[in-house]
Amino acid sequence: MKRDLRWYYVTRGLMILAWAGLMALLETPREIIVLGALLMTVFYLSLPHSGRYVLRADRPFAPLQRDERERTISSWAAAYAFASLIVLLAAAVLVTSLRGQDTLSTELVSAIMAVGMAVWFVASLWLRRKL
Amino acid sequence: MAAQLRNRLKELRARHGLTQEQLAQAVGVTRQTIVSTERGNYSPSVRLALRIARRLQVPLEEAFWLEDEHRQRGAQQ
Repeated sequence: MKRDLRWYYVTRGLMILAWAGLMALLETPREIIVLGALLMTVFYLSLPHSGRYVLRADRPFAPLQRDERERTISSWAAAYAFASLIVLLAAAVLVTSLRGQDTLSTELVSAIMAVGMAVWFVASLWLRRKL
Repeated sequence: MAAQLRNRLKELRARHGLTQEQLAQAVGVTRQTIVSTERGNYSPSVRLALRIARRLQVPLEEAFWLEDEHRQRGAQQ
């Protein structure tokens, strides 16, 4: 398999530049822009070497493709996260209504979302070890 | 309980002198998928199993089989 990632690096570099330009227009502090651009660069450089993607030479702009095992892991992790969110939201609604309140607080919903993301992350790691 | 999917990929791969990386590239998956399949942790799709068997030039059931089928075959012989 030919592993020509030239267009991948060029397009991701342009995306980072576009993001940095947009942030500059929005008057974001320069340190934040530099840090963000650096993190994005490391992220895009590391992706092809993560072992999680199949490299496809026939798609020069999007050469990284998940294989079936990675898709299975993603689907299951998303399902666990979704199920956790539903259960936690239902519990939150129940507790809130028992307290006689009409609405969920923003902090509580944010916390539930954070738990959902954590479940997705941990489930991904666990499934990667298991499968 | 569901019958375990077994395989002899490691042996067949060695017979063809292929590394895990080479087999992975030949069938269009990551090396980790081949590692997990060889260990029996991951059950590949029929499509992938067929591609692997074709690359290793063996019938599907020579590369993959269900453990209870294997026992039954042994008992019949």
